[in-house]
Amino acid sequence: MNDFLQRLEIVTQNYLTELRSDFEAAVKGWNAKVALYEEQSVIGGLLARQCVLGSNIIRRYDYWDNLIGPFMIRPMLELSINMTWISMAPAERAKNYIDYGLGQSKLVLEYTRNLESIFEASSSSVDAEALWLNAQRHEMFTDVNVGQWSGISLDQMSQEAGIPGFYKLYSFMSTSAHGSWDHVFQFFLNSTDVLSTPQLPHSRCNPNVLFLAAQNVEQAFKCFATVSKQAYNQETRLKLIDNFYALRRAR
Amino acid sequence: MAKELSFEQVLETVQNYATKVEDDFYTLIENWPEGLSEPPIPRVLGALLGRHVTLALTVVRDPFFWSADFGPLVLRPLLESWLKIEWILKEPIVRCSALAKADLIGAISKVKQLKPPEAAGKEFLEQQADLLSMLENERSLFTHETKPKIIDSRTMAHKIGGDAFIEYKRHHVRMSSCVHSTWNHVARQNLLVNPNPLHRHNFVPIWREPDIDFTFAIIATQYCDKALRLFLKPEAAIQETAHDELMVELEKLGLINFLEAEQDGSLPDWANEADIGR
Repeated sequence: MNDFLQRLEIVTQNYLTELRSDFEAAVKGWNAKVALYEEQSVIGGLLARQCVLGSNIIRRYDYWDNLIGPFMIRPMLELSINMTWISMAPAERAKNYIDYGLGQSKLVLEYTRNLESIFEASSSSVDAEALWLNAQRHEMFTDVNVGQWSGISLDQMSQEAGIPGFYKLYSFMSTSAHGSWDHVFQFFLNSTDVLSTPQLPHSRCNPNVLFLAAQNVEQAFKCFATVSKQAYNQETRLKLIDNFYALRRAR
Repeated sequence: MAKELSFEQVLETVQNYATKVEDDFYTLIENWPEGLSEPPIPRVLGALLGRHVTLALTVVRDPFFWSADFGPLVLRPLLESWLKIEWILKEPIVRCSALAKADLIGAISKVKQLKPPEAAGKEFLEQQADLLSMLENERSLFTHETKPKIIDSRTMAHKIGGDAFIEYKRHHVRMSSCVHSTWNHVARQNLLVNPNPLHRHNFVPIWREPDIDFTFAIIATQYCDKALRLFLKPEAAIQETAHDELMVELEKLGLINFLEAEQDGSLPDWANEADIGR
């Protein structure tokens, strides 16, 4: 490993250590209340999910690119929009979010049952899924919603939540996630001219992936702080950015 | 036998597989099927196949993606990629043009609507103009008289039928739960039931590192194989592919038996001690 990468590892590792202590402090600082169990579970779970996504992307420099990076940043952007929108009316929206997820579990269960005659392992999958779903709500009383969980589009949610920029980025990354031709021809042909040949490309580093991951993690902490009425540590991300630029200048 | 299985052996086996798939891809591009040579079919299908192989090998090569937290983020696009390739092959000239045109029209419109940020200077406008020119140029390559078409993955899977629709039903919704971080994913991966008996209905957020599950790598190899097989000549359809060879190697290593035993709950006691990187 070269000197720059070694120092980069120290910068990212310090950030991740601080992030973990921020996470533990946030979780400890919000005592469990029976009346709030839906919003506490949803807001807490989404914070944990964002931390797992962000921390793993941040430590994997080889995915700081426009090829694989968007597959991980796009879900983070979507999570930020969902979480910010939920945090504006947590009691009602957390419940809708749970209802939708339970419906998705029922859909998985029905598809798996449908395939039981084809795949031997399906019966154990059916049992596991049914057990998980029925522990929360009996499947008979669970509705499957095939539309948007919130009743409005992600674009509208981002606008209502005051973070339209997150959706704009999300939308640009959709071409990569869905393999639209405007993305594919730029990456998987060796040139853009008419006689180009298909290729397996090498990735090119794009440090924006690091900043976006950190920004989305911070957004999750912000939402958690809003709902739990706590303060959050705004320094963690800023320190990462400062340290990263100091490292680049010293290169 | 599986007791002696090491993580390095598994990595070496999948690396050999990845090298073989890369070779197969470039061999296919050099010996492109004659029936698919009318422009723009080789351009579109070749590049889509390049993306397909790239995504599959990204998952296969890296244990980072062998987990319920990260695997589906690439596996779902990989499943959709296979569906798209198979759907196009049913009517290649029309569908290549229809999909590419629709995507390019959408992209051009999006780029035109871009407003420069406040601090942006001339450079932003130049980049925007370059991007537009590149997209317009690409659009001009699609001269076939076809209406642009947008089609979702479920409809594609349904229209293709067979294995494609089965795999869609088997994996797509579950993978979508990870991609969209819905409750049925988050509650399993990022929450624990509160250990305090007074709060047993509350979940507690937990930040844990993903568990490694090699099944995700196998799914990637299967999807890769499904798409590559579509390009084999009929007489070559029964030949062994890189995926078949990989399965034989994994069987020799004892990994396939291990995964099957794990699925049906008959894992022997030694399994917890085996060093397979879990």
